[in-house]
Amino acid sequence: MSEVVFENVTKIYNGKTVVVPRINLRLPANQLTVFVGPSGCGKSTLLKLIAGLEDTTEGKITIGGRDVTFAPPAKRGIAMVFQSYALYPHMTVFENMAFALKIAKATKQEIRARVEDVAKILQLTQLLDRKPRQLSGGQRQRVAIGRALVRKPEVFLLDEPLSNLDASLRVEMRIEIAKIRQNLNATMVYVTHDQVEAMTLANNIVVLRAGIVEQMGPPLEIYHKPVNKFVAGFLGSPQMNFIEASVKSVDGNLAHFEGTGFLKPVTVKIQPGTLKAGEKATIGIRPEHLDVVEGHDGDFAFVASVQEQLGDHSLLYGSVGESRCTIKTDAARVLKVGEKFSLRIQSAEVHVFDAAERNVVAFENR
Amino acid sequence: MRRSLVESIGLWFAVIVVSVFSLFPFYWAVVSSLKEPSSMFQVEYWPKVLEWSNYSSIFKEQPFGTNIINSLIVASSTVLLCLIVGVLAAYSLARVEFRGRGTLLALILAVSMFPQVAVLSGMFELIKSMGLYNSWGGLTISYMIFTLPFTIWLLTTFMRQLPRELEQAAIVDGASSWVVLTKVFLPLMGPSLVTTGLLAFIAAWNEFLFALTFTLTAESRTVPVAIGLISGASSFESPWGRIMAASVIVTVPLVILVLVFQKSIVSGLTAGAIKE
Repeated sequence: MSEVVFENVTKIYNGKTVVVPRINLRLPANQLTVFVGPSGCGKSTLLKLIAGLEDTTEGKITIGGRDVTFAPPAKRGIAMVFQSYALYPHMTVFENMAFALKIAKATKQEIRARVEDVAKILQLTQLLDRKPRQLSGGQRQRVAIGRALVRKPEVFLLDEPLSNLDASLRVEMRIEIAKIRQNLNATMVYVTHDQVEAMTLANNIVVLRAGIVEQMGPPLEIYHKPVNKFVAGFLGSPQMNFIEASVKSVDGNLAHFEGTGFLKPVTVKIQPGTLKAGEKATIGIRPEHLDVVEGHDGDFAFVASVQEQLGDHSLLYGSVGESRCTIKTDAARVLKVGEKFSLRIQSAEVHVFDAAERNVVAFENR
Repeated sequence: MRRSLVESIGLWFAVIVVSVFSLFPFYWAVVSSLKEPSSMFQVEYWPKVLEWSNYSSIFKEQPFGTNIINSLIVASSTVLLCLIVGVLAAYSLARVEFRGRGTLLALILAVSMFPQVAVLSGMFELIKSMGLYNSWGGLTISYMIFTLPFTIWLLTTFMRQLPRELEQAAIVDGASSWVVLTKVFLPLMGPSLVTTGLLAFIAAWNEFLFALTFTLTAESRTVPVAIGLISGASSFESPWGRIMAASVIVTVPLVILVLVFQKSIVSGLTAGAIKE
């Protein structure tokens, strides 16, 4: 039971570059938390702060209630899987996995027993005598995970572990990691920029931007209830559509929006008092929540420019007024480029972002 | 790509010119060492009679065997000391962040820029005050002056190319700096150690000025000095045959070393050039 807690943690490089400005974060024990964000958002830095590979400039980090802010990495009860695997090239798979135990002065029998146990779980038993260069990418990845598992960590850190693999192997290893998560009694922290990995693996997602936590919560909550435009745009593929609009009128908690490309006013339930008539706003709708209709029966006028056929569905790229817009539709529908259609909102799941990019939609009735 | 005839001829002409230019002096030394003193100044590209007496006489008239052993010991201990200090220095210069790291590296290089003769008298005083005059130790330590700078530079460059994540993985596994260096880095640095070690060995093996200045007796000389001081039976006889024979003898160990370590040298010189 080891939760990881950041208390007012600040990280400043070389006394001037602020990477993490004062973060407070609680990563629940025995769950997998994913840090996502664009590159440079500080997600890897946070991981290295937990590992102790970077010094904390200010604040406190605790693992399972123990203050580890100044503890060396090996004394923190963590293990880490690196992006490049970082296997020791001159050692066999067995030696790679036994290295930490040897340093910790475990007995020969104990080392052998633990390495063989882990090797069995990861199907590495046949490979124990090989050197890393004789292994495929997926096998190296498994050895890296095995080397971490052998240490029986309280906290298991993974730094973009799948980014060096090709697409099909990535899916395979993702499932493997999901299995390990189920069987492993440890807190896992996983850094990625791949939102599919985040959505599929996480118990909790932490969305970061410039060292600041934008939102934290279970994947589906973040997907369905993003707190702001950044989070809404970051999770989901293709990205959520953002259509520029202005508030026509507000009565109670119902706001009516209009704008270029709007065929009729769009009405959305918002949090009371957040928008006034005449203000600018952005309507956010995911590509799968828009439907193409013939003629001008829909809510928006749409000009299509490119269609991508993906077999089971197709993607339509175009614009509504000045805003770019993507629609996910079934494959059978072939559209002529440049043709005008209208779009109908086919779900109640519409988001509204105010001028400060906060999501002001009323979630409670969903 | 196919070469035209003219291009082929041009290429081989260039190859021959370069080969002759670089190999002829050595060939001439071998030929001269096999001539009698009387025929030394006749131009012959291959001696008619093979005269081996030059080779045997250098061992009779002076302690040349002892000189070779001196050279072996001095060069080997220079290499050993140099690699130990070099690896330790390279680790801190490549991997530890500290103020003035760049300046320190530049200073180390600057040490090797002085001509040997500039530091000669100062070095002489140091060696004498340490009681190392006329000994292996004196030579070994003074050779550090020109072998250490390039050793440290080469090893630092190589160590910088080792992936940082490898070091971090070892630290997470509980390795101390010493363990990172000895158990993770050193095994990966074999080729670069061989390359730098060999360069240091050659430099120490061929050094003349310090060896001449810091030794006194014939028994403590190294081979370059011994060869330089070979004299004829009388002042009218020039000992070129014996000088050449001695030179050929002392070149052989170097050639053998290079051949033995050939593979490692090639991979050492190109290490890190491409991603594995």
